[in-house]
Amino acid sequence: MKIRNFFCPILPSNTFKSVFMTTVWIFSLSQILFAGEPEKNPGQPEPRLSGEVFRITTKTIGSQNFYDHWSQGMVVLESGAIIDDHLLIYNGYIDELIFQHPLTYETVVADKNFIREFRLLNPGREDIFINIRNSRWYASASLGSYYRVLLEGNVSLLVYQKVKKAGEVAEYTSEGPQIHTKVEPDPAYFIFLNDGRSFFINRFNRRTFFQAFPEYKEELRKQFRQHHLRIRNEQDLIEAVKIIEKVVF
Amino acid sequence: MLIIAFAVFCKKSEASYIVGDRPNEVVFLQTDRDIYIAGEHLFFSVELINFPKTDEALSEIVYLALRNQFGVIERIKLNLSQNRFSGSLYLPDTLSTGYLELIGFTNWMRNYDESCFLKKTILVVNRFDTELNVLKESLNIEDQAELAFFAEGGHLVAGMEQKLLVTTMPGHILPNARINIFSEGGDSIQIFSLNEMGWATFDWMPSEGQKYYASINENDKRFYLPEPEHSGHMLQISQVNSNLRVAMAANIPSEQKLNLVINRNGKVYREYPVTLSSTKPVSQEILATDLDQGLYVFRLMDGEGRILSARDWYIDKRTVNNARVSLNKSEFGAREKVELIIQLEDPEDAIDWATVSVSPDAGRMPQRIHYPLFLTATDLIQGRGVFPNEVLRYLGNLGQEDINDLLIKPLPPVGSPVSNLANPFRYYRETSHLTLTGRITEASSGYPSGGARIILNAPDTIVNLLYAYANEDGLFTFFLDSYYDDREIFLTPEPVSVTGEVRIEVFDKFDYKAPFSPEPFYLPDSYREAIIESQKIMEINKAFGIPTPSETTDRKNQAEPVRVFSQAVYSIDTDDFIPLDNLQEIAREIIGPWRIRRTRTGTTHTLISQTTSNAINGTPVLFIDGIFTANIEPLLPLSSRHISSIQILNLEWKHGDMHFPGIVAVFTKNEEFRNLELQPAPVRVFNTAHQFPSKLISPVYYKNFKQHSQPDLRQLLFWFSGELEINSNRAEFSWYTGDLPVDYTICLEGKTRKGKLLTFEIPLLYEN
Repeated sequence: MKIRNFFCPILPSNTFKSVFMTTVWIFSLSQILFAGEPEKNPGQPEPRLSGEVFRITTKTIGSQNFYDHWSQGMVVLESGAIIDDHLLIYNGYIDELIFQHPLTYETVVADKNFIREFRLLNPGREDIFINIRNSRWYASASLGSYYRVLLEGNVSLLVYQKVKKAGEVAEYTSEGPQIHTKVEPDPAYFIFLNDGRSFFINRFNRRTFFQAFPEYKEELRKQFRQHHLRIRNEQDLIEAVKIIEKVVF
Repeated sequence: MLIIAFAVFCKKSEASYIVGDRPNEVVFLQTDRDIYIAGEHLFFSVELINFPKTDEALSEIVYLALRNQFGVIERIKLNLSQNRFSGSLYLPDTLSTGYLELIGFTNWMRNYDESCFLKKTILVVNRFDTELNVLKESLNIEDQAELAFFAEGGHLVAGMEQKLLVTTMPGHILPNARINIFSEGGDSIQIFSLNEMGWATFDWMPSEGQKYYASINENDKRFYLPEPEHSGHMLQISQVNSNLRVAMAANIPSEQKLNLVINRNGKVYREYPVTLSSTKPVSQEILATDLDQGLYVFRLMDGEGRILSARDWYIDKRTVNNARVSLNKSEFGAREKVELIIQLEDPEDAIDWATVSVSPDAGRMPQRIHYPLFLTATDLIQGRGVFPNEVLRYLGNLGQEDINDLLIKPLPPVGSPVSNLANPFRYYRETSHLTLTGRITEASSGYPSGGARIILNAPDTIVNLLYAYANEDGLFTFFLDSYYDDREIFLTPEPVSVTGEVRIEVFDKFDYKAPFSPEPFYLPDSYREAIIESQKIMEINKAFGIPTPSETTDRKNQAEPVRVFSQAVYSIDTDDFIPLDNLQEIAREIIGPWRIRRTRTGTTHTLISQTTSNAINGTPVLFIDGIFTANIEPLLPLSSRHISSIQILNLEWKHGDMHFPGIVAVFTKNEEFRNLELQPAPVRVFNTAHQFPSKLISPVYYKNFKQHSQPDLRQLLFWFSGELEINSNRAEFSWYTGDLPVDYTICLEGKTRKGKLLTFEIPLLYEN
């Protein structure tokens, strides 16, 4: 098990112009547990999930969810307790974890303040989401956002799997016009260093990294060339961060 | 729905909780002394031993109770660290003189017969007790003494010389008593004395058809020996140099082909064919050095597997005392520094842990149970499945030879799990959480309320909640973390899960089934003087207000409670508004989404959903000062004068299996829940936190500096029990003597990292 400290970045707005940003966030510090293989202890209380019964669903064009199907999942509560028998969906539009109640089959929005981490388990794939707290001094309660972990180490790569509103579509039916919201994925990638620094990756290219790590620019350029790495997609980004880890640490 | 929920609960909670034949947890307890004056501290150490060894994590909580004939006086929970605990227990100075039992157990051990609990008798004398009748009673044991006889091999057969064990019974041990064996005609056949532990062995050839009896110290009372059998088999074991000699004979009409079968830990270890034809013994020699540490069961068996004669034999190969112990002086005056040095002979070994106690002789009984003996007992547990407590009762302070003499008496049978209900209920191992168990029954019929949901809250300024389901027998378990330490806990049945009125009973872990049965000490006259002296010392200490200097480690951080929701939708502070006379007014005037309606038939209330703006189906769940309650009526008179704040969660909410049609949490200024008749009425229990380790602090004196005006009349000069942090083959303990002009005894026990045992008793002499 590893315990990491992450500073929570403020998410980029649409007007955010800079290629990258270096931020040392003084407001928040959240202890995130990356559980290697958490185990349940017998003789301990049965952990329980809490949340609001999810009755209103907004019909959208495009998916709000990370997966459109229920995934077998595991939830780690803030207390460290583990719940591993619930079906889960991550809704990026409202940034909430939704679980299916195992007895009543109701959909429930998990109380985010109780969640430390959750994992979506699908054949051949495990997606780990961590809840990073953003407790600013002016906020009365801490707010959290779920970030998917792509890579974890001295340099970690996390993605905020945001789904944004891309517009509205009017549909004319016999019952009159209906307005549907159009949504599309808008992932935001972040690099976290173990010294507390974090970088928002706005563009997928090598220059982003050269500017983020100017003191290692030449070595990174050399390594990227050696590995024939052109950063075009998420997988390339993971490979790039692995190289940064080797070069910087 | 409830049945499904219950099934899910049971399936999960009972996984990997299979109760075997034995608890594989053994509590070992050591105390600084055996005799105390009321008002003193008793220092103790506890070790929880995994025996027979399993891979499962051991309990981390051990319970220790002190009880007398009237009930439990002290009940403490010990939080073990690496399976050990060292602490102290105050013996209230109001205790009247008498024997008390210290009982040590874990929650897991409650699944078994109480005979697996550790029991130790101590004597507490009230400082105002001048009669000391307890000492007279101890000397009158002779009147109550009973003798028991056991023939080696199990049968007393006429015409064959056999070894017999004679013992006084536990609780009425009669040391050094003279035993006279008579034939029925009154002829004296044998005269011998019991040892100081109240037993002896003797060789004897009984005649057929004769009856024999024994007397104690020439008293008239007769104790009959078992009648010699006309025919049968004999099996005797003796150690001859490095060999075990197994002698077998039979008083039978014709030759018999038999097997000598040696078992170890329930498995056949060796087997030898034997032919017996007469009372003349046939011997089988076995090289003892070939045998490993442990208990062996020798059985003479016929071809059909019948046991004709049997005998246990113990081989002890544990290395004890490969060390030298020295003091910095041979005699000590008042307030002088004592340095005790232990030097292991093996330079690569180190002392792992040690218990050192320095007290006057008169505070301790000679038949003390020491650690090596305890390990012997654990060997016997493995060999024969008996509980160590039973074994220790018989073994006293013995070496291998004596143990083997005592093993002529068959070991007691193993206990078994006590749970024989149709729906087995388990007491869990308490590794990180304390358990709270109980039963819920229908108030009118007493039948169990199977499937009922019980809600547990602690009064707090946040809504905290645990819940558990009762099984078919109405039994339920809660797991409590440190948040519930030293807190009141309220248990409420959820009305929708029960029919009619119910009764919740919380089980007391210290409610023992076994009656109070201390084992009185044999206390010769020399103890009277020492006890009177101790009483005077206690009086002086009280007069000067001299406490026992001890130090307790800090408490751990408290855990966070299990909360139902993290943030309320509305949070109203009544002081921010004009005073209102009752809850209905408060709801109407300052809490928009909460609607309370009073009609002739009663009061109803609902919440308007924050997300749909419609009324939420069902009645919101109420909490008053953190405690669940189902009926709003008793809360209605609460006004702004009583209420400090109200939190509203006007959302349909789930917490585990529980469904809440919204939540209203009322917090009062002065714990008003105590004055309200909540419906249903919650059951209150207080959850005492476990004790934290404490140690005795020895004062420090400097030469030629009279810095202390108070007398130092410590009976216990030094007590240490725990692991040693030094990584060397030498350990040093130091303390200062007090003002009492008496000799002390230093008792040291321990274990080295290589598994060797240490046990020493050294005199600490007063310089006259």
